[in-house]
This record gives sequence, C-alpha cells and structure tokens, in this order.
Amino acid sequence: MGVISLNGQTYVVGPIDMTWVPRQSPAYRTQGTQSRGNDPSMNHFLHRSFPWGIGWSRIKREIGRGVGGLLDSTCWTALGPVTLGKLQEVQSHAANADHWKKAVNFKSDLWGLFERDFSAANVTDIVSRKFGATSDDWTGGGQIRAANDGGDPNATGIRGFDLGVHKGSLFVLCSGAPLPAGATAEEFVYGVASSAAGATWADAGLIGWPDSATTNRYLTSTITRRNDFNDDMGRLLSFGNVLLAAIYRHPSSTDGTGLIEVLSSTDSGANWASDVTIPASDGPKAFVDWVTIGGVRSPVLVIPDGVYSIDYTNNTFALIYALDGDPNTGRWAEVGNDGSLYVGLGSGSILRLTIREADNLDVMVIGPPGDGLVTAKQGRANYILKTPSEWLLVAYGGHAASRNASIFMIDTSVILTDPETGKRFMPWHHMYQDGTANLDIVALAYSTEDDATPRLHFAVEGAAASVNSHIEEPFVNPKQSTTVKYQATSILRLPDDDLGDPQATTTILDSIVDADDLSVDTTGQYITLRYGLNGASDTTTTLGNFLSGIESLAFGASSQGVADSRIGINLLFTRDATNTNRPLLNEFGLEAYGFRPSLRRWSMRVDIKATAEGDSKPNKVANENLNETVIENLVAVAVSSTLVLFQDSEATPTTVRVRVPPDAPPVFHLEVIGSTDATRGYRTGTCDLVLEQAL
Amino acid sequence: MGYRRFCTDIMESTTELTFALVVRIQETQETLGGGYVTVIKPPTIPLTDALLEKALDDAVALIVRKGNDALPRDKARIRAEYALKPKEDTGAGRVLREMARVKDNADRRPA
Repeated sequence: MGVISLNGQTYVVGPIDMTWVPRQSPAYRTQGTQSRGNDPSMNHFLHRSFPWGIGWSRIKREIGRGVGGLLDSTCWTALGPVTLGKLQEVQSHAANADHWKKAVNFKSDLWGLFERDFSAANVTDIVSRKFGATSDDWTGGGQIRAANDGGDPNATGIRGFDLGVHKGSLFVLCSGAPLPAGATAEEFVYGVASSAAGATWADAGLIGWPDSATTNRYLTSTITRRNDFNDDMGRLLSFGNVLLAAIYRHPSSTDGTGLIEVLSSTDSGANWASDVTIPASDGPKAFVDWVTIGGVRSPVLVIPDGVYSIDYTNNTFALIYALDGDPNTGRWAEVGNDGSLYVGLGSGSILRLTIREADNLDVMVIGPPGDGLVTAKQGRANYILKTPSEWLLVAYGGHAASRNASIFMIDTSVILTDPETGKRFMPWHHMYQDGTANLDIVALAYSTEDDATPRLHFAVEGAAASVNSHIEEPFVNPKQSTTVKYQATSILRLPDDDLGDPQATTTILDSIVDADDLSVDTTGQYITLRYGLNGASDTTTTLGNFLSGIESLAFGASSQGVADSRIGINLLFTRDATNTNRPLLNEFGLEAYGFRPSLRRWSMRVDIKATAEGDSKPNKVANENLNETVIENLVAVAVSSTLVLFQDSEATPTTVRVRVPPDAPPVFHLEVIGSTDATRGYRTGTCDLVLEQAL
Repeated sequence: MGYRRFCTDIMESTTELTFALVVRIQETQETLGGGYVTVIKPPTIPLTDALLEKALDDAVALIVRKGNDALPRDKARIRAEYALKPKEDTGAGRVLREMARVKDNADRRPA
C-alpha cells in the first residue's frame, strides 16, 4: 500500500502502474502504392522542386504554405533540376560607347544605344553599336549625335533616352537638335534620329518636332551633363504605321512646365503632330502597345502618376489606372506575352494589369511573393523585359549599400495562391545577382543574334562606363544542354521549416538528396549542407558534403540526431574549374519524426476504507462517515473541469486529468456496510483511477 | 473626309507670322505633309481670325496638293532668319494654335 496526493487530498492506494500515452495514430494504406509516406515511424520532409520561387521565409507544413518555395537563392531553380546559377560573361564596349542605354533586335543584329561618359575634357556623344558574338563585344555602328553648343562643346552634354525599330529603321529619342556646328545652343531640346542600317544617322525630328532652341528648351544641364540611367525623359513607341514619342518638359527647364508631351508621326519623322500634353510628376517611364480601358488596342503611356491610353486620332488621353507619383514607379513597364501590362512600383511591388474585356480591369500584385525578398535583394524594378516564352525578366534592386542588384525570372504561366493569406503571386526565380552592392542593373535585352545562341544581355551601372554582360542559354533546362556555363558557387536557402509543428520538438535524423553529377570528393562538384536550428543563422553548422556515393548526411553527434522546433537549411553548390560542370539536385529531404513530450499515465486502486482511517484522512463532515467523504472527494476530482494536482512521491506535483475520456473514468467498487445510527449504512470499497498528464 | 491641322513652332515678328503646319486626314490619320507657313501681316489692320483662317485653309490646300513639297521645310534657316527680325506678340499665334485645334473640321476641306 502507498499514499498519494490528489487535488490536495491524500489517498491510500495499491500498486501504481505507469504507462505512456499514445499521441499519434499510425498511418496505413488500404489502396494505391506503398510510398515513404506510409512509413509510420518516420516523417519525410521533402523538397522535390521549387516552383514557388523565392520570397518565402517560413514553411508552415500544416497548411502547405511555403512548401516548394525558397527563402533565397542564387541557384538555377526555374526549370529541371536545381543547380548552380548561370554564368555571366563580360562584354567589351570601347569608348565612346560607355553607358549602355538599350538594345533592340534589328535586321539580324542586336543594336545598342550608348552614351559617352560626360566629361568636360572631351565632346560627348551618343553612338550605336552592334553586338558581336565572336568576341563578345559591341562594335560597328556610328555616331548618332554629338554635343554642340557652338562655343565649347566639351562643356555641354548629350543624352540618349530610347531606342526603337519603326518601319524598317532604327529610331533614337535623344537630347540635342542637329543644328550645324557653330549654331546656337541646342543642348536642352529633344531630338529624334533614324538610321536605315544602324550606322549612318539622320535627323528624324523634322516639321512639327519641338526643337526650337528659343521655345522648346525642355531639358536642364543637370540632366544633359550626366549619365544617370533613371533620367526618364523620353520614350518612343512604334504603333503600327505611327511612331509616337513622349517627352518630358522638365519643370526646372527654361520652357518646361512639368508636362509630358506626346507627339506622333505617320511618315517616319518627316512630320510630327503634337497630340496631347499630360501633367506628370516625372518623365515618361514606358510607352507600350496595349489597350484602352475599353479593351481596344492603343498606345499606352506609363508615367509615375498613372497609366494612360493615348488617342492620337482625337488628341485625347484617358486614365486607365492611377499610380502613386513615385519617380521610380513604372520604369520600363512592359506588356508580357500573356497580354497583361506589368508595372513596377517605387515601393518594390510589381503590378499586373489585365483587361480582357471592356471596362474590366484586373489588378494583381505579382510579387515579391510571400514574405518578400531577403535584405540584399530588396529594392524595386529598374527594367522589365518580356521574352518569347513564359519568362518575364526583371532587373531589380541594388539601389543602396548592402543591396545587390538582381535579375529575376518571373513565370507568367503560373499564378500561386498563398494558402495562408489567399494572396496571388507569380513565382520569382533567381537569374543573376551582382556581386557588388549599391549598383543598379540598368537595362536588359534578349536576343539570339548574331550566332543563333540565345543570350540575356544586361548592364550594371558604373562610374565611367556600364559593365555589360550576357548569360547564354538563359532559359535552358540544365539537363538538356552541355554548353551552359555556370557560376563557381551558388546557394539555395530553404525557408525556415516548422517541420509540422513549431510548438513542438522534432527529432531530425538525416538529410537526403537525389542528385546527379556529384564528384567523389570536394575537388569536383558537390553540395554542402549548412543549417541553423530554431531561427539561428542557416549557416551556423556545417553538416557535411553530398558527394557521389554520399547522398545522405546524419545529424548530431554519433548520428543521434538533433532536436528542435524549426530548421533552416542552406545548401552550397560548388563546381570545379570547368564552368560547364555542375551538380544537379533533383530532390532534397529530411528524415525526422515529431517528438512530443512523453505524457505519463498512472493506473491505481484507491482503498477508501484505509484512506478514511489513515493519518491524512479528510476532515470530518457532520453526519457523514469519513468513507463517504473520501468518495465525495474522489467524485469531485472526477468531475473537475480543470486539471488537478497529483503527487505520488517526493517529486514535484504533476497536473493531471482524472476522468480520461472516453475510456477510463474512475470506477468505484463499493459496498454498503454497517450502520452508525441504525437508519442507514455507509459506502466503502475501492476506486480504480487512471490519471494522465495533459501537458 | 476632313483634315486635322497641327500648328507648332509659332514665330511672330512685326511683319510676319510664321509657323510649322502638319496636315493629316481626320479619319485615317495619314499625314499629307508639312512645312513652314509665313503669313505677311497687313500693313494697316491687325491679323483677324478670318484672315488667319483663310491663311490656314490656303496652306492646307497647298499641302493637300503637293505634300511635303508645298512649303519650305528648312527650319534651321527659317528660325535663323526669324532670330534677326524685330519680335512682336499680338496673340495671333495663340489664336492660330487654338483655331487649328478645332476638332470638328470635317467641313473644312478646301474645294
């Protein structure tokens, strides 16, 4: 016999059986295929692929949020197996082609518009150059226009604002009217130049073009004497038979009042008509071929204040969607190959405007998805470029210290729905991240010229010249090409994984990969696993390397596992010196099981009579036998809606529930015996109790 | 069928009103041509709206017939010459600009 304390009352009990409370029901399958999900002894936390892209800081497995997503990545994750990010190759572009502004496909070549770096030591100009795949350079072309103020041309600048193809010619919207040398200053007026072959340029801003040096000085010396990529002063649009130009009459200029003027020409610049003027917070950001709010094809102008359709027939404009006025809003907005207009906001979001039928505008924020980008990638869109396939490319971020500019691939064929918030996004995948912080990627171009190899061209801003690069075969599945070049290392950061229950501990035993092309040692291709537990940095601990023949790594000392509520995984992909080599990751997973604190269960039989006669018997209640009092106390415990304290030894009391539903309520075994007053007897006997920890 | 008239680069001196004129077909937006029009101011009376409208119609008719060959297009020379002349602002240029902006000019096609 022994003594316990329950709900403050002492009871005499027989032997106590202590067992464990079953907490999770085993899984079993009655039909279909036996899979690893049927293993009741182990959970498999898998990452088969990452179709959700980056921007997901937490995996919440109970609702599926973040599964298939990434916290961050510099790996290739868009298509096929995960591998190293694709390698950029630097291009050469000798002076005067210093600052790359834009490039377009034209007559079997990729032609670029370049500005010479402004300097008081030389005459600045703008030039055209074409890309050569043999030497990865920009050569040929010719001078489009040179600075010329009739006095000291070195002191004046000239800018190129846009480049386009219209009716078989290249057109450039720029500053500087093409007046003869020695004429009065034309630095602050806009000009248009055209070229039938890319090398020889002529004035295309003829009758009706506002280039009077006495009444159309719409630019300032601040703008014309620098090379900032975000001086969005003018845009061109080829709209069927019509060439349209939007120019900003800068409010700080001599003749400007903060209006954007839209002009059109139906004869390749021989004659221009001024169609509309629109008040604007900053210059035109994009001029695209899209639709009116009524769903009719139309030139559409994106300015910081809104998206406007332009009716050059009736000289009117109509607001489609109001924007926020941020001068970084709308820069190089683009109509994707799904027919929607993609507009970057200065705040960092990218909008998708869709008009499928008249007066029905659908607006969606396509990202950054989920929880947003990691600090280094944050920023806003500088340039949006559509490609012939589903990929929308975005030059993003890099605007401040500790911010590295990126190029993202956005999959416009997929719309995700966050299962937690219901918000819709499109997947963002990493394409490129610049290694130097606080530099912007200023322009993008996609072309297969001039050797039928697809290339993504881009430029990173520089002090005296932009750094131009390209990535070959940018959208190719890594398994389907042996010529793709890869970065030397890349990282894959999985979201902080709650492993199904962030409130409980999970025992993580093993990490597993399904990978190809791994080397036998770290002189070749391999994947290093780093991790951090419960919110710690995901590079806190290096577990080891996945190599050929080593496709699982055990956690913990002596492979005993580690236990915590969450884990952040950081995989480092590495190759050898050959830039076409790469490790391929088909799947990554963790083998773990949810560890619940062991809840104990006690079974015992209370001897009511011994309790009533014991040293710690309850206080006497008037007209009630102590045996009855003990029984009533036990009943009170059994029906208690809150937990009660239980102590069976010197240990600290445990909170337990006594009436364990549904199978084990207290069971009394009673008999009525004796009589103290000849009118009634009293009950005594035993009571079988099951006590169970609830927490 | 009507014509749309776009007047820009308006330069007024004491003796002349010069401006760039571009003419388009209203319905198709086809550009017929453009060039610089110079209106000689009457020596004793101001440039009335009627005179301006007549000058505009005559210039449109010229462009309809001859396209870009109807009127001079050497804007650098025209501007340089204007720079040497005594300036005057009678408001005629603004009147002209508004006159040309009249949208419903379908009945203004010259005979």
